[in-house]
Amino acid sequence: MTNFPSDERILIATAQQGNLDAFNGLVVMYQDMAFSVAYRILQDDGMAADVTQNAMIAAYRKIDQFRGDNFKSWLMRIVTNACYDELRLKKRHPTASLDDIEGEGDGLYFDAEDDAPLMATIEGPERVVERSELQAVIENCLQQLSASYRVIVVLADVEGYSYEEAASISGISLGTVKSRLSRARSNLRDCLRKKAELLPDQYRQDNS
Amino acid sequence: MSVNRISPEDLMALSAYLDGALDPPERSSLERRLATEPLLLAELDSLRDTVNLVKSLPRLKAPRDFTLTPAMLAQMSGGSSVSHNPKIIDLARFNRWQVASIATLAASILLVFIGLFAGFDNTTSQNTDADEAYQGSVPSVGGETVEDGIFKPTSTSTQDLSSIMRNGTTASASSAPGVSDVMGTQQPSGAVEESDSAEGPAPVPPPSQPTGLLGQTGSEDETDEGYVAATQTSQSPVNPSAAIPQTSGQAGSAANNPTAETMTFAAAPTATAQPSPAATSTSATKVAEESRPDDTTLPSDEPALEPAPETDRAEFDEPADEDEGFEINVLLVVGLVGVIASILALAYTRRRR
Repeated sequence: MTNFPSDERILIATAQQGNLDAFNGLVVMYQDMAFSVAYRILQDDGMAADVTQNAMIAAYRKIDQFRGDNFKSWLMRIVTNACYDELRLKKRHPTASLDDIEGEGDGLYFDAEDDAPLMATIEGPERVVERSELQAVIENCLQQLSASYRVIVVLADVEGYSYEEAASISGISLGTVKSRLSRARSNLRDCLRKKAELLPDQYRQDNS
Repeated sequence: MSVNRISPEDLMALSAYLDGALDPPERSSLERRLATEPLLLAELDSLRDTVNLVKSLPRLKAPRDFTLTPAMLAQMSGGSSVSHNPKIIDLARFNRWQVASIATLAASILLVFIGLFAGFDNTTSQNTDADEAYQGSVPSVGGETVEDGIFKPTSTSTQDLSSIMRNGTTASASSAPGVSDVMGTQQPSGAVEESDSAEGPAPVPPPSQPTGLLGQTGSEDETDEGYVAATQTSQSPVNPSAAIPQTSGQAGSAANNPTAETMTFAAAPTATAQPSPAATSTSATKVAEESRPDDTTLPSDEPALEPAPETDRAEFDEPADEDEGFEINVLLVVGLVGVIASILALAYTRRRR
């Protein structure tokens, strides 16, 4: 699975001719990003994996329709749409999934902690704990945003897409992206401030 | 804490400024204000800190490989190019409250019908009573198949997904949690099936299907026994409708328990009108068996009223006349309330979509 040609354009062109291996090269390239976006939007491990897998299958089916040069955005739009579908589904079955949302939300913390040692190997163990606690707080505040705000924050701030890309991926206008992003950031700021008391000193010095 | 100090426009401008997304004139005018308005500057700083914190979140690693296999594509080829398993979407078209509402509506209409016909036909032939009641239950049999149609795909789609997961390229130990999580999230759709059928008895008086919804398993043997018992008690196997007065009398004694009442009522027409496989209710058996002791104790009271060969029919007619009026009223009221409630529930769930 690793010896694909690395050029994305070649992979896309080959995949468009129905070559599954070439498409899987693209999958390997983007699956972390796709899963990451899906997870942060949905705030649920299993749902995010499900959505990522389904989005990859949908992308393979639609890849002959892909035109242009921004495959990443195109794929992310499929992932984001799949997330919207999943959220709508969840909305329709609120009692079936409410416990799941809360339960999985806690699992989220542990995932963040699992990842923390990888990115903080040079820091001492206390710092690692602080970092993962901080991450958990941020994730928790993200979770409290409404889904439409969360999508934009995830795309623009977590993933670093431009306003234009975020608008194209999420299918909303540029102006809506700007206003939603500003309000989402303001809400996040308020949430983080509220939780700041629970955080280690280091964060409070940074933010207050 | 910022409480309405900053207008949404300013907030938007600050946010865009952080991203370098303001036009040069907008930017310079904002910068001039920032130099003189400490509140605006504080807002900008706090927003910048927030954005930096959010940006510090690491990209997550996929819990497993999401590469596609030919088997996976073959599995999904039945569906359209929708990103979801289409069966799940079909399931989602009705949420469980709508299903419950539809079932309640069907059941309530049936109750009203039973109440009406039991009332009108009390004086006329018992045969038509049974027949009409049985026909009345047909719509809710249809309701039952609707439920089946909705619920069956759940299990198949779960199977599809589980086989997809099995076909996944990496099922290593590290990815195992992910896989199980995926299956875990599929469960809600499966759980719809469980919880719906579990909740079934409450909103859905299940006249058409007392066995399935109430979780009673009535085998065919029991059914036959029950019917035999019923016919023995009534001592008129030729005329199955004779069992009606019995059962309604029985229902009267169980009237304080609404479920039991519904069950007995539901069981009565089915058992009488359709002795064969349709009468799959154990309650029919119970009713018949319970009425037998009465059978032996009561005859001495009222045989004189109707000296016809069908003595026990007469004695069960007598108390039934009193009780039936009350039960019919209860049935009509419960049924009408159910109809109204379920229509309201349907309208509500529809509007929310």
